[in-house]
Amino acid sequence: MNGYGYLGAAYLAAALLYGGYLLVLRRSERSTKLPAQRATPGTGDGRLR
Amino acid sequence: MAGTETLAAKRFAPAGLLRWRRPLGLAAAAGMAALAVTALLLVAPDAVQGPPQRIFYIHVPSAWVGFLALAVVFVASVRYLVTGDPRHDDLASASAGLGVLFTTGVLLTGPLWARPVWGAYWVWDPRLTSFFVLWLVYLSYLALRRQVTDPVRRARYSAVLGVLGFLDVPIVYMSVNWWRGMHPEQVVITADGPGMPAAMLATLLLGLATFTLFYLYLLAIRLGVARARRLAWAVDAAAADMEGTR
Repeated sequence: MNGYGYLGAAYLAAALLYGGYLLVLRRSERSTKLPAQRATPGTGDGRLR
Repeated sequence: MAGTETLAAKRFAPAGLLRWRRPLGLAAAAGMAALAVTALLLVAPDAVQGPPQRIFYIHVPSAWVGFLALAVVFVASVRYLVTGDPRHDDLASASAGLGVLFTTGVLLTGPLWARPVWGAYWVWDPRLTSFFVLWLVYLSYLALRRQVTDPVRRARYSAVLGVLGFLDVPIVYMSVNWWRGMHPEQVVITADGPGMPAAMLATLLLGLATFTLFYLYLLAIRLGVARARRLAWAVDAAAADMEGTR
């Protein structure tokens, strides 16, 4: 691999690491609900009581 | 939870980041595009190292932001130990994950720069070794948080590790001055001023600013997630208590 190969590999690795992390983080954020957004906890059936 | 009203009323400055999240994300995206064009196309290549030297423009900003993230962990951990306010623990845990992310970026880009310049991907040089130890310490910080389920104990244990782990940061920074090794010494902050042409310095500063904005954007997301999880846990715990007393 020549100098351009190492350069490309480094930038690609960084883009995949940081871009991939951002995607995973946004997905994790969407699946995390604030208490107000959920049904009453502990009911197990999603119904408010 | 005891004192919840008091905590809610007390101002927590890092929470202001949540409001700036969108502008931070847009600024970081624009900065990344500008950095890619500048670092890969516009700035002149290094006369000795050639193309691999351009890795410098993402390697050093990754390291800077990694250190910044760990400094935030340190300060938030100290404040948690002093005040017991769980919002400092939210901040420490959010920043620790980003510290691991950016130090991982350093460990990926560094060897790809070292191979064409030093002839080896990795050497057990003082800078590389102390940095690798730092990465392991914060990886263990994240592992510790996964292992301890009680939130108060988890916050206390990880705060202690967040304070002790930071002791390695000055060792990593000064390792190139204290011991002889392969890794170059500091080139920007020196007694004689920056040891590089103005165009390279400007590109580096663009990288530092862009990575800092990206860190703050990610921190805003992680802080929101950490806070939502803590509140959800508190509500679940209160519901479980009510079930138990019924």
